[in-house]
Amino acid sequence: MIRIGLLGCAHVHAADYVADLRVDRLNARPLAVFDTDRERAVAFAAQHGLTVADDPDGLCRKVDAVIVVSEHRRYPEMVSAAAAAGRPVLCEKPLGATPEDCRSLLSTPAWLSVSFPVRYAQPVLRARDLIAGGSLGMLLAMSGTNRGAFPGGFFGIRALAGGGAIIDHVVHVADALRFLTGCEYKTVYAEAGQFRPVGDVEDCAQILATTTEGAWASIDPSWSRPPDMPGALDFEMTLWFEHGWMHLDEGGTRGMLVGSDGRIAYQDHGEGTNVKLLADWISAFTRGGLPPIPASDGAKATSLALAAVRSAASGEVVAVDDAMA
Amino acid sequence: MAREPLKVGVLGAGAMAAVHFANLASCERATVVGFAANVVSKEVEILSRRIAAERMTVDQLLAPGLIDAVVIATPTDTHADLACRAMDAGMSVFCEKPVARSREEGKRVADVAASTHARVAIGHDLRYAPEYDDARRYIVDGLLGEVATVRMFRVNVSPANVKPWYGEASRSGGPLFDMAIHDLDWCLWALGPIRRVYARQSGPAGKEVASIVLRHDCGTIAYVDTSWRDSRLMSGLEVCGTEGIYRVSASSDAGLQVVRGEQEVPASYLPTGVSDVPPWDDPYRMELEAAMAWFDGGPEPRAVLADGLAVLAVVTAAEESIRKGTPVEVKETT
Repeated sequence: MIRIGLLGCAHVHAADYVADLRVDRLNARPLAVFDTDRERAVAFAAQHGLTVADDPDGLCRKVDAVIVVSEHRRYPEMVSAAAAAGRPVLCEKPLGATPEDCRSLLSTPAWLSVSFPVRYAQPVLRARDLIAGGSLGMLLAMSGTNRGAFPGGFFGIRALAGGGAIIDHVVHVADALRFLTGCEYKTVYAEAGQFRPVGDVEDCAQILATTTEGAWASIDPSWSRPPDMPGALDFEMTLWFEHGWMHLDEGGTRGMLVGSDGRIAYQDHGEGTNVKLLADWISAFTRGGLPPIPASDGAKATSLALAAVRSAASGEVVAVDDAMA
Repeated sequence: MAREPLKVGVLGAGAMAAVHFANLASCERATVVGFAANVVSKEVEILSRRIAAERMTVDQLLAPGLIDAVVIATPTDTHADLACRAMDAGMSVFCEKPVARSREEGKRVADVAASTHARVAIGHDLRYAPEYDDARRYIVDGLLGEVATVRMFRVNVSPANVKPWYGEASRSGGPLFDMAIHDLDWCLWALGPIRRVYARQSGPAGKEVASIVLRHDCGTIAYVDTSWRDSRLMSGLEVCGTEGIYRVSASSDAGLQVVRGEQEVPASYLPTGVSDVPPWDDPYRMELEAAMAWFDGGPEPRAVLADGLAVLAVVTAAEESIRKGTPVEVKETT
């Protein structure tokens, strides 16, 4: 039984990891949690049946591997504690919420894999196979959305989150397009604004990037959905190639469940992408393999988000590499 | 009707001209006297014969005194010149979008309109499309709160497959001037002036795919996808406000998808089922009825020259942004 600890529980995904780690086939067990806010750690531990560690090092000593799900800006200190203890890491996205954090995480000696569960979605895997077949030719353009509701908590606090919707949602589509086509980003332009009271960050944005091969790629990462909207979180991409186009809708596989009151819920079925990602991660570090999603991939997707944040602030087109310098 | 119907001439005899011919035929205020075109489509030939419209030269048709109003449905790069000639001859003008291929041509149309006081309506039919009309009303009535984002798309097969001039960017302006201009005009109509534009385009001439990011004066961030690389005409919009969301698929085949045998690419680039739309919901018929009523002394239609020029400023800014690779501030044209 692999013992897993959580470094931080401020992130909305922390509870998802705990639930998913309890799936039998993973042969794993969530054991303990550390958070800089001890009250939060105690409440989280009580709710999810975990023990509380007093410091990151103490947590690492109790477990075989750690998942970093703290506030974005604390990732570097959490990862360096895991590196010092020699524990394999699964790091929640983004890989750093500032250029400094991203560089620090990229150079960590820790065995680190990044959490991009979209890579395990059936439509994404099928699209990747189709594209690898080569008959579609070169990518010309991609229009993508990853919209949802404001997650709440630290996501609205720039000092802890690094930014708003751009930091939260650009990376999923940015990584998926790299994963699908092998492209790299060259420039990005972003318009952003705050339309609802979500703190000191943007809640809506539209970004338009170019790739080194001359394609364009747009991403709508907005928290433009009301909190209780069924199926609020979307992940869609339209890709135009030399010899055809495709529309990819991750939510297209979900079923619709309607209650007697008419309320609609969209339900995933089968094993979720998060469980597949965890299985791949655990299998890799227990067998001494390489991280399934290396820090370098995390940094590439994250650098697009960081460059978009800079563009939104300056009003200029930003070279993605410059944003990391 | 006690009064004489308006005598109307049609310039052009292609796909859009056929739509206008059919709608003029059923318009009680108008009678089509003649038409001029280099190439006449089968549909226009049949329609013109049915309503006894005579084919003549442009000079004959635009000779002062013959007609009261002209409908311009020729290739984009000829719009401005023909509109100016018609105005100089004392006619009212219904001009297909875009009003001109360039800002300079647009300025000329504005100058001639100012000196002749001619009435000029522009074919921004989306303003008469029920779903887009509703979307604007929800915004104007405050149903959606403050509008944060708008996403629109309009994709099609390449019309250059049928009409080669569409494939020459200097003549047609590509999908930006042919397709996205509808959505950009709707943005102006529903949300007011646009401050700046950033756009990107890929693909060879006649098969372009483009992306446009817009920032409105009111703060709304709007986004438009447009393409001539798709398998049929599809369009839609989503408006996200602080109080609600309105989303609609405006594709003309919404609610019905048909695949026929091995056929992958339809021969026509026009909306399928145009003739099936009931007349009271048909934007092409309504825009023309409204223009003819205006020419006949009635109220102004929803899209007039000022609107055509305003969206021309936006679409030419998008073209400039693509060329320069930078965001471009939208300047007034007049």
